[in-house]
Amino acid sequence: MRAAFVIASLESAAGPYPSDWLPVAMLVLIAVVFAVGTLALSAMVGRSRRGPVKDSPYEAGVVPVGDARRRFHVRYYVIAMVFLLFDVEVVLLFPWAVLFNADRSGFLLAEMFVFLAILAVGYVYAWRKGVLRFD
Amino acid sequence: MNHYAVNLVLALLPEIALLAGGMLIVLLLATQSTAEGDCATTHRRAAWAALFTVFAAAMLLQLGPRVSPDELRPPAPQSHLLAASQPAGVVMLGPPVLALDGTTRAVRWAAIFMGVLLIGGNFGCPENVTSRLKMAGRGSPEFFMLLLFSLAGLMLVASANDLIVLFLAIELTSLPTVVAVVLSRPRHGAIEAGGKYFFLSALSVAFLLLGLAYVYGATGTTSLERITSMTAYGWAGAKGPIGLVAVSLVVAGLAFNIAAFPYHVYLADVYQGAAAPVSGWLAFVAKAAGFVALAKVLVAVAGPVRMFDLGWVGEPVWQRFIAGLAVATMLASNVLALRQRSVKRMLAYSSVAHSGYILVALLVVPEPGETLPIVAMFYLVGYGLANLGAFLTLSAANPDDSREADTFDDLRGLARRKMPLAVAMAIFGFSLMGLPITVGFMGKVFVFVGAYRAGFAWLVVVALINSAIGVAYYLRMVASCWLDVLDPASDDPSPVGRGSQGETAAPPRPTPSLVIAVLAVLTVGFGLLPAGLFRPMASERTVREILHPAPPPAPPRRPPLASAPARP
Repeated sequence: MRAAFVIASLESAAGPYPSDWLPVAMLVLIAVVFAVGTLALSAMVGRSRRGPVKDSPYEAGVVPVGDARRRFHVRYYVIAMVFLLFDVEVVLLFPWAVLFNADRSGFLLAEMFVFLAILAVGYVYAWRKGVLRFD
Repeated sequence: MNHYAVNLVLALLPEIALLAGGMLIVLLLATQSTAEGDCATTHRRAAWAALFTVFAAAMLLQLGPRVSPDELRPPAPQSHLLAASQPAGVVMLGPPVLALDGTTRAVRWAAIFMGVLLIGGNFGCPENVTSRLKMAGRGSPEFFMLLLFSLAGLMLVASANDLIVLFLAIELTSLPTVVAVVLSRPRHGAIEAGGKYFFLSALSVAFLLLGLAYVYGATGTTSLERITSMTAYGWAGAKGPIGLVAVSLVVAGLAFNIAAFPYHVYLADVYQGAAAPVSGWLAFVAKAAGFVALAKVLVAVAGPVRMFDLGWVGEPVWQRFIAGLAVATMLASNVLALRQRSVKRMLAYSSVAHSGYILVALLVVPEPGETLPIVAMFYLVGYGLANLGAFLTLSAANPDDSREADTFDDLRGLARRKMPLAVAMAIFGFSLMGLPITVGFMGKVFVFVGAYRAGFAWLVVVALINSAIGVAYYLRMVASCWLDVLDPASDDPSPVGRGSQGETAAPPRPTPSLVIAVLAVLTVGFGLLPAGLFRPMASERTVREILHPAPPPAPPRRPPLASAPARP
């Protein structure tokens, strides 16, 4: 987008020509080329070894057991959600840890504790609602 | 702790109070056992806690410290290149992420005002309920914490001065509404409504985010203040290609929140599936956040720019666009509303029509220090009052104990069965129509007069014609309550409203009669004395100018910005 801005400013300096749309067209083009190109490239370059395991929905190597269209316990989704919550929290903690050193005022420290407290409240709620009860 | 952080906290005290109150309710709900038991007590406690929180926020808003805009500027990041040339003791200030202007004040008061009424609308809880699941749709205690988060999000939208803050605030406003729709659960169609609402809102958020990314890509900054000054000093903005794409995407994304024409399709299903207070909440909070955000982005990207004492400079290109959107929204929704058999679906489509009128209000020239014209906020609150009232009345007007009123037929004979409810329904209907001595009428007057003075006479004519169409279906709602004989068209022996069929045998929710009465009184009261609603939301001068407008010639030139303090 930075490059697009430079191009846009150059173009508009020259006047309102139709090529003012160049950055927009470029973005669309890049998006399409990337999406189609990756698929096409892997189809062309990659070797294709067909087989019953390869054709199964999940190629993780584990042989699927049973049908996917069965009922799952609701606990599965709730635990997945709680997991996601803390996963995202950790993702936020990393850039915070990098920035933390630059800030001497304690503002960032306090901010992160507020964030952790909010998460903790959510966790207590989930815990007390029996999300983690496995009996 | 530096001063900037302290100022930030001080400026956001009401929002912080709401969020803290919401979290306390989360903890309160966590400490109550999940087992069967007295969930009515939990519900009542959560309701009182929410009410107390909103009052605390109001106190903080009234008595809290005033933070000047310059105190909200963060110290700019230290640059090694600049440090050498910088004289010692001079602190460079960056653009603020918050801007507390007239719109912020209006939205904060409106949010608190409507918050009290929405909490009141869900206050009652059936006494003889044993399981939480059974009572979810009748009024779950989670409603209150979600509402508090949503109100805080709405306030933050109004004070955001940065695209990232704005986006996060919009999300904070709209995500709780999705959960609240799903929580209306035993009601048939709540899950369906929640699913539709969630996926469509995710799609619209993608539009909005891409639009904001375009704005950032074209300007190189996320600060609305910087973008505004770039627009003022020659950036083509929406007249250029990138700006045009950006504005189109942002409008498309926010059109979902305000339910404008091509993005209104989800609304009927959602209103029908959601519990009455949730519908009232959606109609006010989601709409208000969408309109405030729309006004903020449009003004920053496309002007008009207020140049000191010169008034409005530059021709805002987006105005014709918005006018067109308003016409399409009003026409499409009114035609669709005429054809509904379910009262809730009719109210949903008419809610889209009201979005069209508020889009007209976006074209009103704002007073100094406002982003969204105050008349738009007045209209939003007036509409929110009458709409919440209509939904609550409808939920209380059940023909028998087994189900809620849904079709026009279900309202038949309400005047004989429950006279006060029929009177209230008539008041709300008249206000939604825009008949005199109601707040709806005053809102329409202010909006249409403002749009006429801004040079959109043709749009006012279109809006008036549409208001006349609206009278037809609102009158049908009111007439169903008062007349025993309906028009033959709707005299279908087997009503097909989905909401009325799958209704489980949950105990009927107690009628929120007090809140309905208060809403009816306010609807008429603010219609007689509109200043009562304006006064907390706007400055004394603004109120005077709206209620007693100066004659058409240009207003006298004011001295150039005496209020801007010199920065040290």
